[in-house]
Amino acid sequence: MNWRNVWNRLRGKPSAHEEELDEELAFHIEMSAKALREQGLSPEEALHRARRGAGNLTLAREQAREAWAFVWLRDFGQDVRYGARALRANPGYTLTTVAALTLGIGVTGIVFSIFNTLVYAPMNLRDAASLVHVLAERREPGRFSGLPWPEVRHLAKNSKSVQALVGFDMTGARISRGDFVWTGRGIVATENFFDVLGTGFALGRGFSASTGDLKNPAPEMVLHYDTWRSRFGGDPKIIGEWLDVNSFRIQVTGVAAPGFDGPFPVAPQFWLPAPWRDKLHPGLLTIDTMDSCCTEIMARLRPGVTREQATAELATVSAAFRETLKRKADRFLLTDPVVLSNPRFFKQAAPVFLAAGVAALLILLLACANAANMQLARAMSRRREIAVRISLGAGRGRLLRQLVTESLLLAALASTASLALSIWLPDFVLRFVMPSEDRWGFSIQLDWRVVAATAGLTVLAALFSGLAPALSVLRETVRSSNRLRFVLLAIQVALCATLLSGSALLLRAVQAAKAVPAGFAFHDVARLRPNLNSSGANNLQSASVIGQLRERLGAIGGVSEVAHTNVVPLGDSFTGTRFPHPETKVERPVGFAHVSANFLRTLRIPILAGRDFEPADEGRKDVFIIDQALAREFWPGRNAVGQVLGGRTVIGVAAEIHVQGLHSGEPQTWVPSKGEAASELLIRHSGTPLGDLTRAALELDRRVFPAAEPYSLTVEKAREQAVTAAAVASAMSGLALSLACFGLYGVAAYMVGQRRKEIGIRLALGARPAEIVTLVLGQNARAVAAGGVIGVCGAAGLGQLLTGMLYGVKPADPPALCAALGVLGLTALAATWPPARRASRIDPSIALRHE
Amino acid sequence: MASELMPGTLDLLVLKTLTRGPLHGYGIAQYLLAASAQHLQVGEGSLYPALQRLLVNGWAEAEWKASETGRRARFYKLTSAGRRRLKEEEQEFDRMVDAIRMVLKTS
Repeated sequence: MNWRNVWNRLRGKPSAHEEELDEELAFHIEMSAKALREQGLSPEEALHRARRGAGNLTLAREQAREAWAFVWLRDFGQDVRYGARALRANPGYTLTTVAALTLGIGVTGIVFSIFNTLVYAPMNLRDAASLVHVLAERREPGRFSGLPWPEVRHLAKNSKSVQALVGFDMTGARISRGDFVWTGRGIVATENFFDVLGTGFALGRGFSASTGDLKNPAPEMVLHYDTWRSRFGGDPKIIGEWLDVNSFRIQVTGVAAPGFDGPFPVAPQFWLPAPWRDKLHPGLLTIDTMDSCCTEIMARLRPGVTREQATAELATVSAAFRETLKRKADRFLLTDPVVLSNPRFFKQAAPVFLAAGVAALLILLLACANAANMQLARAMSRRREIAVRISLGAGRGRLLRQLVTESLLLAALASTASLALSIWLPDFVLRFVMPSEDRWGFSIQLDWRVVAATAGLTVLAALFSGLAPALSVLRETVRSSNRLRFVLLAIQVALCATLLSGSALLLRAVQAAKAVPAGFAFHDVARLRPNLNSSGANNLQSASVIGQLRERLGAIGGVSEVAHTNVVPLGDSFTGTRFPHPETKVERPVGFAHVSANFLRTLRIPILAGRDFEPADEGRKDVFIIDQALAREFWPGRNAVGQVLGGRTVIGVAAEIHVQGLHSGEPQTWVPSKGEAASELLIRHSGTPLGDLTRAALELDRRVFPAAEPYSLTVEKAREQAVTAAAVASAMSGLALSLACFGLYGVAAYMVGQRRKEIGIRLALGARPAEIVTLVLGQNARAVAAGGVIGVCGAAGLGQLLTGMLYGVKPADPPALCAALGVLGLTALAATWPPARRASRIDPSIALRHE
Repeated sequence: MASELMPGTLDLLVLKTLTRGPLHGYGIAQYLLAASAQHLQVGEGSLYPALQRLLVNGWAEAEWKASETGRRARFYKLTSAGRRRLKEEEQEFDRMVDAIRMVLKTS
């Protein structure tokens, strides 16, 4: 078969075969008629009998045609044209079905394209195909991270398997240009960062070689394109300008190319040479210590070197280096340069994606059931047409194909629409999910995987939504189609109930998080962040500044305590150490905070044993207070006071409080301190205006003290972590609910249309309108009840998927499940009410005259 | 009275008919009717699909020629592949008939 023939078949032109066949059949009938005439029949009668005798000519023609290959191609072309015509003729039906399917395919597509971007799509870096993310398994199995700076430099210099190796880490800095000041998030990186990873510059250039000088790095910085546009108005004169960065003068040498975010999940606002970090934050030195953690590493492998070879070689070079420092060697892992390249983060994100993916598939299924019901209703109204075509000899298989082609056409329209959606919607969703005003360091990739997945979903959706109605129509029984309609409706309700229960559970988790006691009193406490480390002060200078500040603030009326701490409970920072268990000697991570003597008193954290700090303890290196969790774990059933850990004697045991977060946390220890660069102030007061506190701080040093804020803001923020998940789930179940609502309305309206005459008769015979309303409501009520029960049972099972996100709520939480059922029931009632009302107002005389 | 054909036997009968020489569709139907003493009436609904099958498989060739009435008709002619096929089908048919007889006798 040549291409012209294929084309003709798609266009639906008869081929030579068919013309021959028609002529042959005509000859056959003519010969039969002639024989009959010879038997004495009239010419008309003879022709009639011959035709009838010939049997089902259409079928014969069709079957004869099907003996040839490629027939399906012509049929397919014909079906598509026929389907398109039918869809154009019913724009309302087409639009609603496509809308339902677009929702289903779109939501699934968005979840997949976000997953694809995070897990499969390489980040926007120069020649990403030959890049690898280098990770080392440090401290515990499965906990992969970067390496300390000295080791990064050693690997870069000595590894033979890598062409180039780049180290980078986060930092923050206060940047000012004249009166304009802002605190931004940046990346510090090795001097080769832009040469290896950069995708060019909008203006200027990257780091010069002298930025790698550890003692005296060149004062250069590169701005993110978006920062340049938003903070500097896209001013081209920015190149060469000197900015004030944490009180240092640093020159802008370049603006990165638009869209370049670097190899970090969160987009930075600027890049600085690595040695600058220690200058900007003298309280936390990193560049020359093996104890710092963790510089991330990207490497470009030499051509021809496999990942296995590079992994082994890096591990060997690293082990030799660590040998000289008498340190344990690490296992290495090289991964793709994707956002979730670290197995640890992938593991954290996996349950979220699993839950979102399952929810999206449920919505898709719901949309399919919805579309199936619409197609069923339409197919039932075409029953007469289909019956005629069957009696005219159309094969059932052929009709089935035609009906399914039509739903394929609908699904294809829907997937085109949802692909269009997934160009901009995922970015919107991600921006919504991003907890702060930061921007993600990647954008959604619409690559072949997304297109292929969407195509697959389209075919599945077409089969799911088209096959059952088509089969049911061809079976020609009204009862089976009614049963199918009921099942499809129940499926929709069940899926909707599952999703509703899921989001009800998450909302309950939000509620539960709000109810978790923090363990300390945060009302009437103000928080003041002096940002001493951005001023370049060392710990000694900081202690004196903090001392002065405490004195001044303490003198303000209404202020009862001024405490300092380098870790604000439920704030965003955390410091820790490791202590060996007294019995097992297994090292255990423990929170380790430097606080003032009155810190526990300020937050009203009770001392359960021993004593609280005294002012004289501040700065002592031999005492500390531990919390009850550590006391219980290390000295169960014994008095912890007087025990010694890491050279410090336990002088008191404090009550447990939440430090890291409301749902996680290690035991906590408190160490008395005079204050340091990272310290913040917590001020207990009775109604003192916060402005007074801010003013007192600003009098001391204009540059470093931002405004005092209520500590309760910090605590509220920590409690809102579950809100995002609940909001996403609510949005998803909202979609599901509207789809199901639409389905319920459609079925009720269809049923009222179908039984118009019957309802008319009932009314004519004296049925009251209320009885008719009950009749219509009752039909949907059965589907809602069945679906609701199945859905809630499913939700109780699927709730297991959410356990990681359900703090303090059981997967089978009765109030949540009841609430979901309640919402579902009310929505079902609202959706069924209008058609039921309409039914009760049918005018019997008109209904009976109908048809 | 016309009887139902055993499934799969129509191809065999058509092939056998064509051993007598080229024939058009109507002629084949007429011959089968006459040769079976009016027992086998083959409808066009099965005859023409069968003929298309023979063409597709290369067991028969077709040629348009003037018929006995002078009207153009498609004449089917057996190919050598068709003859081989006929032999196979005949053997297959014999085996099946024997098998059916055996079952009928034993039970």
